[in-house]
Amino acid sequence: MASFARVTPAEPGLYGTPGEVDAEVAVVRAIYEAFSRRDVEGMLQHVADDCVVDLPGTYERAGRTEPYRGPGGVRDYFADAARVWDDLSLEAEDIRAASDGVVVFGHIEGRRQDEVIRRRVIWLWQLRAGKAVRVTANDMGELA
Amino acid sequence: MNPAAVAEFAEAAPAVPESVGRLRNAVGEFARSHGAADDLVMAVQLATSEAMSNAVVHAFVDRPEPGTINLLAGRDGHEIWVLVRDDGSGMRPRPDSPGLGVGLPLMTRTADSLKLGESPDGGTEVAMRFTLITG
Repeated sequence: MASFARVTPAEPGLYGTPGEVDAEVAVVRAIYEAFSRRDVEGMLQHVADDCVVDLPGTYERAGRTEPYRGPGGVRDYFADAARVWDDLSLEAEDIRAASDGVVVFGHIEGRRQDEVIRRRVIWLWQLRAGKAVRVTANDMGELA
Repeated sequence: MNPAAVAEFAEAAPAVPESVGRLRNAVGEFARSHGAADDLVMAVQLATSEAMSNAVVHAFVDRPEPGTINLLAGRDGHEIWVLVRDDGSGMRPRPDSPGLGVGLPLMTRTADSLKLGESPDGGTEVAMRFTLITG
């Protein structure tokens, strides 16, 4: 059974950001926590209908060429992650707010048959009206 | 695609604040030379300078001397692409620097696509694409 996420407690950065960022950070944190519970419906509460989920580490291994889109795409992502990975954890180490989105520094650890990956990742979240409209995972290299 | 081989614009500069302004103007001129409208020129300059500023402020914080920023740009059909590379320590969260990363969402909104990654030198690479809107 794949485990999806683990959230390290971290305070959001508040550098030069307006007050509503706390709410946006809370939304992103709730999404990671929903991952950790493998709670698709819980995640969907925080995702816009037109959300783009650009997580190539999973969709490419699942044989897809495009990011996941919308609520159906989120369900596909969960299904792909469970199918593709024997174990997968996403660790959000540092969550930082900005006026235009939320930046999450962290790493992933995944195991799939003989393949083991440990990669540093920066997730970039864009939100609109309190819901995520896009997340992009950026592979920042091998985790030391 | 090997960006370095196909880049129409390539310049390396010390990762110091003075380089940011000069390279910002240079990449703006590059975009303008491809007929980019003023709004697009500003978007390219804004996102590129944000990426370079990140490198200047954060990439070499653990080094006695600043390293190098490499700025590459080119055209691919109806898009202009820009790469900002540094040879620093990578983009990592710093408890002492809450500002790290806050410019990334701005770059995401300004560019039509943004990808972060590891540069060939082990630092950070910021890859941006902009749909060419001509004036």
